[in-house]
Amino acid sequence: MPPIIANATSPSIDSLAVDFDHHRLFETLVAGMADLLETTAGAEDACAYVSSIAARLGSDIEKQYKTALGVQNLNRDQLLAVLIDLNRRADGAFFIIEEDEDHIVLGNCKCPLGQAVINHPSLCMLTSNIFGVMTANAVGYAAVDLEQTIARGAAACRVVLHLKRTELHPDTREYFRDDASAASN
Amino acid sequence: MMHLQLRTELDLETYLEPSLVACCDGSIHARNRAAHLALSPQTSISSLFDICSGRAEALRTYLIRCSGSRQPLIEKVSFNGEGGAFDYRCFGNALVPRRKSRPASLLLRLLPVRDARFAARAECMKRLRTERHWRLAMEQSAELRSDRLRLVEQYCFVAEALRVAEAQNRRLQDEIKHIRTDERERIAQDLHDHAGQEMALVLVELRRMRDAAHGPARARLNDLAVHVSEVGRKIHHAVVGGRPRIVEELGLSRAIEITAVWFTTDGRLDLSFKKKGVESDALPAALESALYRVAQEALTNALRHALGAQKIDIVLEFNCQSVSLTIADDGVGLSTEAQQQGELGSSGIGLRGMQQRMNGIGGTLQIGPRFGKGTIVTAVAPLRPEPQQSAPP
Ligand SMILES: Nc1ncnc2c1ncn2[C@@H]1O[C@H](COP(=O)(O)OP(=O)(O)OP(=O)(O)O)[C@@H](O)[C@H]1O
Ligand SMILES: [Mg+2]
Repeated sequence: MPPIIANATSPSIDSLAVDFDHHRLFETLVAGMADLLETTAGAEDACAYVSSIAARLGSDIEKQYKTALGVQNLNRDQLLAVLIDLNRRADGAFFIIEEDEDHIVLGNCKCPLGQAVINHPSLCMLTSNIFGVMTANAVGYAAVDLEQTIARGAAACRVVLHLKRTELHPDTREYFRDDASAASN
Repeated sequence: MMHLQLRTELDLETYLEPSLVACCDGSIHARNRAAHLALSPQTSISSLFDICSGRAEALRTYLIRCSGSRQPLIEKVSFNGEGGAFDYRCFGNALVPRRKSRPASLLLRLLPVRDARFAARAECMKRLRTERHWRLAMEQSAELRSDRLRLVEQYCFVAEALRVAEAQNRRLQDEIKHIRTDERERIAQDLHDHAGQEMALVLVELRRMRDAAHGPARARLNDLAVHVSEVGRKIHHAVVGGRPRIVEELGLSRAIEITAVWFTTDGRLDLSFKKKGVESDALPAALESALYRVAQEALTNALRHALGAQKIDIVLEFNCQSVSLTIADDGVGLSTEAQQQGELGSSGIGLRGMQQRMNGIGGTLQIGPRFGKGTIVTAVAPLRPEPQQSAPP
């Protein structure tokens, strides 16, 4: 390829209006792979694949926070702080809409996965599993309801974490305190 | 526990793939027939860790993760079977969560490590790509083919235009020839109607004066009358010579033959006329005219110059490339002087005229001694004219 030399008549290459950067690269890659996964393996198995990645990531992040805090187990306040902090670090914008004894409702108007998540609900398994795993390990049980999601076209996500067993919707996902966390209690 | 075990055992048979119910600590509670066949069917195994071939720690972590999730989590695992270690893609989830001191019981389903759907999808993508390449290649080749067709079309168009232009050129040349002929006829007519009439009057007056005169004046007037009569004859010759109507009416060979007959009607000379080959109906007018004029002049010369001649032989030969005319007499033959001049251009205009006419149609004219005795004139006219030679000076 001949060298590209910027001169007076052509604008410099690095100032051109080209829609590409680090984020765009990963967004495109993630969206493409989610699409492939959903169309090839079907929605359910796609969720299983993403859940596996998320569950691993969830317990790994949890371990890091616990070690950093020097605790065996996160209490409810720590859990909430950790969930919000985690999302801030991941460039999301989760916030608590309401909470009581039995449930916590979280909102989010900016998905950490950016545009990639649009039309790819299997990617929401990241949120569901990380929140579910960490919450279940902290309080013993969690059922996650993704009531509204950006992935399905909503302006913001509305995620309900049930802390007690209730009647389950078909889409509600249950998480239990895993045996390792239970043993360390 | 027993109740649960029985129930799950029954359920397990609904899965086609090797499936088992195991505790988070690895102890196996139940397995379906497929799992029984796949995982050490000879021996009864009690723990997954007994058949786990390596990466036991990863398996332990995975089982713990499964214990926390009602939904299946996927992990690659490796178990010993009949034919050695075998990799599986394991779908595992909590069936019954941990209760008090009892560990969670898990459902584990073992599928081939490679998801056939992905392989099929990859195959499909590969096929689509190949098809796209193929389509592109076909499109390109179709484009090339249409380019070629377009070129051929353009070539035909140009060739047709050339043909039309050539036809037009030919028509124009014919027209010019006609205009020239018309002009010549007009001049000939003028010469005949004016100069000819005047000449005739002058001749009549001269003869009257000659007849009235005596002595040297009479001889002088006689010479003058002969001279004027000769000039008149030449003018007449020119007028008649400009219009070989006879050729138009009878065709070349008949015209030459009839003319020769006229030349020899006095019976002094024998005439032999031979025609060889097939005379085309469509001989070029210029060719016919030139050969006819050559014949006229050659016959005139034979009568005038071939002293002692007894016979004239004429051969007119047609073939596909040319028409040749030979006129031979058995007279005295050319004088050496005339022979030399014959090459370069003679003093008279007869030979020069013949030469010019033949040159004009790309033909040749030769005059020389005939084998034995006499003179032979040979004119050859090509049917497809050569590029025109310049007339001799
Ligand atoms: N058949 C012939 N036999 C003998 N001599 C000939 C014959 N034809 C031509 N010649 C010689 O060639 C000369 C040149 O002939 P050419 O026709 O050019 O002139 P011309 O006949 O003398 O005059 P013009 O053509 O003007 O009537 C003649 O003068 C004559 O000497
Ligand atoms: Mg002559």
